[in-house]
Amino acid sequence: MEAVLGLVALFIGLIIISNILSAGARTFSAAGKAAVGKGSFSENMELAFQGMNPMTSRFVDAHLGENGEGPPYKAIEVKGLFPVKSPKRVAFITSVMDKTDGESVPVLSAIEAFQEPGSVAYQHITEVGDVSPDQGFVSWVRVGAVIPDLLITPTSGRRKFSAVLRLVDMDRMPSIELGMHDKSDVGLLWIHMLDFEHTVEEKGYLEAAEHRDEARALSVRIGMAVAMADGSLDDVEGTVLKNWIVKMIAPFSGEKRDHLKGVYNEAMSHAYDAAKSGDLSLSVLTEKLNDIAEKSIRYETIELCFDVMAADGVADAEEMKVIRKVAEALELDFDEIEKIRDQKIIGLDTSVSKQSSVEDLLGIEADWEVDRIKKHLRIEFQKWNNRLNALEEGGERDNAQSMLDMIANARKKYG
Amino acid sequence: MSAFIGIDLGTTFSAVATIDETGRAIVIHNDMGNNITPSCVFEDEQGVMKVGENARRQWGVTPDTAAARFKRDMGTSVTHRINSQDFTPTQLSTFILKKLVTDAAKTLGPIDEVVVTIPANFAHEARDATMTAARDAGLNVRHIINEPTAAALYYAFKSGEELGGIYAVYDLGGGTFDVSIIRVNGQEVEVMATNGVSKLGGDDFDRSMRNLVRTKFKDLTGESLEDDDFTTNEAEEEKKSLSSRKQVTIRVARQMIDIKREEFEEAISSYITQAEMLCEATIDEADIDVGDITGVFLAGGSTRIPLVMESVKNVFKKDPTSSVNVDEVVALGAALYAAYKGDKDKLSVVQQNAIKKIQVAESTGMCFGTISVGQDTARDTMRLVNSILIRKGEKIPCSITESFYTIHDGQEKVECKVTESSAAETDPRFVKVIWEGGLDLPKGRPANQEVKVTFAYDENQIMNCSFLDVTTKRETTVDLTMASAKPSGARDVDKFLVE
Repeated sequence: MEAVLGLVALFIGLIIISNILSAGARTFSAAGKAAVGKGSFSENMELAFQGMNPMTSRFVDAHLGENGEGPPYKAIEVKGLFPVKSPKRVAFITSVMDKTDGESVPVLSAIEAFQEPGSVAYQHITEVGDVSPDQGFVSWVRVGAVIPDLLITPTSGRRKFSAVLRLVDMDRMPSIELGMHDKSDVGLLWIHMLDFEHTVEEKGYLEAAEHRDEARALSVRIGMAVAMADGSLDDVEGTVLKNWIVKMIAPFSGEKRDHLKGVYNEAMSHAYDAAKSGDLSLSVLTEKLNDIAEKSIRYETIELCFDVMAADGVADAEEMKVIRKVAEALELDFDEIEKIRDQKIIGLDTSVSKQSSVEDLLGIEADWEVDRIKKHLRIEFQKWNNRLNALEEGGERDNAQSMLDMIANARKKYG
Repeated sequence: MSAFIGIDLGTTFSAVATIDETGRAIVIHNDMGNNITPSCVFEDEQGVMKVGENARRQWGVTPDTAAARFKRDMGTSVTHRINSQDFTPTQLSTFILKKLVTDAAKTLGPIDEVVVTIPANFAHEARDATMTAARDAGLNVRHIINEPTAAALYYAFKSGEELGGIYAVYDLGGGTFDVSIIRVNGQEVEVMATNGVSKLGGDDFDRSMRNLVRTKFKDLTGESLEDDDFTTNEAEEEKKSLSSRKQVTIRVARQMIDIKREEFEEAISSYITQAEMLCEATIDEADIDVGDITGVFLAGGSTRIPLVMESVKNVFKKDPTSSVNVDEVVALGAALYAAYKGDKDKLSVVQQNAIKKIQVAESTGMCFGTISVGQDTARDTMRLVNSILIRKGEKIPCSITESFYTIHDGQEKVECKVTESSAAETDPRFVKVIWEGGLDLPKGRPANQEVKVTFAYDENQIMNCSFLDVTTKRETTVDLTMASAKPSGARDVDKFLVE
């Protein structure tokens, strides 16, 4: 138990949200501000007086970011008397349900801070503190937020949602699971629903699950294509693929596990035969993967490819070419691919990685102009020079030094 | 006579300078009458640590009894063994500094203030280790200056004319390479961009020379050369000879081996190319074209190598300026900086007049940031990122504040980290965490509480960092460099005797 607590504490300790690095980070911090609103709860409540209307809520459309240039979100505001009969410590909890197909089904969140404590269902909590009967908000006060871009729905497309705003007694916190509660729960003080519609571009979780097994079988085939790029399957490469399959089936048991094992083994076996006979078409595999796989699985695939490449400690030129083709075909972020690549390269034994040309390692295309190649090499040199400084003495630092030497040798060719 | 000195604590050689009664920067001879002192330490038979030329010779003959080239390891856990004892680079540097100042004091009397130079891309630990070595040597080091900046200051000062324009400083010493782009206006020096490679210099060229000789010996005899058949000192001497001659003939283990200059140049060409790429990158960083550069100042003994001169001309499209002794320019610039930064009341009127026009505006050579959580837009997940607060090239002194926000309801702690990187790196795996601490927060608060993070970098390149919880005013602060300077555990520097 101690170990678990330690990990949780560490994680909580690490999480400060940056407002400068990425759109996502800005998004989140701005959402936090929006949820709290301008003045504090107590400032608004000091203005309370008897005779206010019952509590009601509304949506206010807004944009994230300090200048409102960010993605849209729906602020939830309330006004009126708190529906309490005795002093209580209260909070507002926002859940979101998808009711496109009539029945309310859970909506998930991509970000942990907007998730229920025990699940990944969307939830946002705003603590109010102590309130008494006859107290309320005389003005509209923001108590919740729904950020449509964070919502993960069962399927993609135009969706109908209900934002469920609950006022709860924090000393008798009701159980809310997957956005639903028990109506008899005494901790639930008030509930209000706000409907909205939104078009979800990303594949839904049901769609993703439906195709996940098939997508991962494609990942195995692509991994085999990388392994066979030099014409043969080394034991270490085969072991990487095998271990990857073991990892993928680990969460499952019984029939499902056996089924997946069969699917993935078959994929590996067929891909090997096809590669041997020259019939393994990368473009067909990547096209299919693009059709059915969510982005995270496409990244999984690239990581598998790099693991296969690095398995024997050799950054083989042919393997690198195949990986580059796969990365391009999967339409993934170039910077992210570079980071995965660098992480693998730095772990390679430098004496053997020299067998590969630095152009292959660094993704330099044969048709690039000399000036473009020189600039690319300069940028890579700066990057690896920095990494040299950041790494401790040892193998990885030696590899970074080796990269500098290789980049310099490559540069000599281009004048 | 002023007692302000500048020390160039070099990888292979060190030098000390001051300003004389007329306000000129001059080098102080060591006790052997030399302008430069080898950065070598050896322990004699009585267990006395000795520094200088004899230590250098000893290192060449019996490397087990001496240590050299340890500057490159400053701030790391690497140790150097002398006889049966392990010494940290900080401890060895302490011996060197003590020797340099002892020699200087014989000429100048008591030393008031010392400026020590450091390579521009020295990481925090290496800067910290240098300051610790100076403190353990009993020096009153109130200021440090980057080596290329010191060189530029000296060139601007000594020219006697009003220089104006953008200059490049190409500083290739025994262990490190630095390049800076500097705006000069008379005696005002402003750093626009700077970069460095921590392991590129004469030491690498010596190794290349040794490898070349080994290879030729093996080709000739079929046998491998023993280490002591051709020492690093001998390689260094032959390397120097090739700067003025086209070919050297070396007698090694009863064999005569010819080394042509072009063979040596080919052996070191990869290093020179690295330097060229860094120069080009620095020009890019300064946001100028190579045609905007008025001139090139050289520093460091390795710039005497003809291939290096050629490379400089090739990159900057200009003949470099090297009319002074390139081994001494950094120390001379540091002496000027010591007078410029020191208590002017301790200078004579003539000295005050001589330096009154000096202005130095340094910039940061590193990026400094903190670790936070940001959204990985590529993968639609949250993950740790390095958020840069102070960017490389920021004018010093500077102070940057950014707001961050707690992510969880009930978050009771923020883990505070200070990172360093020589490029704008966002991936936490490729940055160095130079300090970490925590900020405790009150219980029961909702998420999105503002935490203001302020990094302030002063002109001595000491950084003060604070993490402030805005609501409660609770704060965690750290004064980096000075605060983290730990005792080096220097072994009995009192037993150090001057040769």
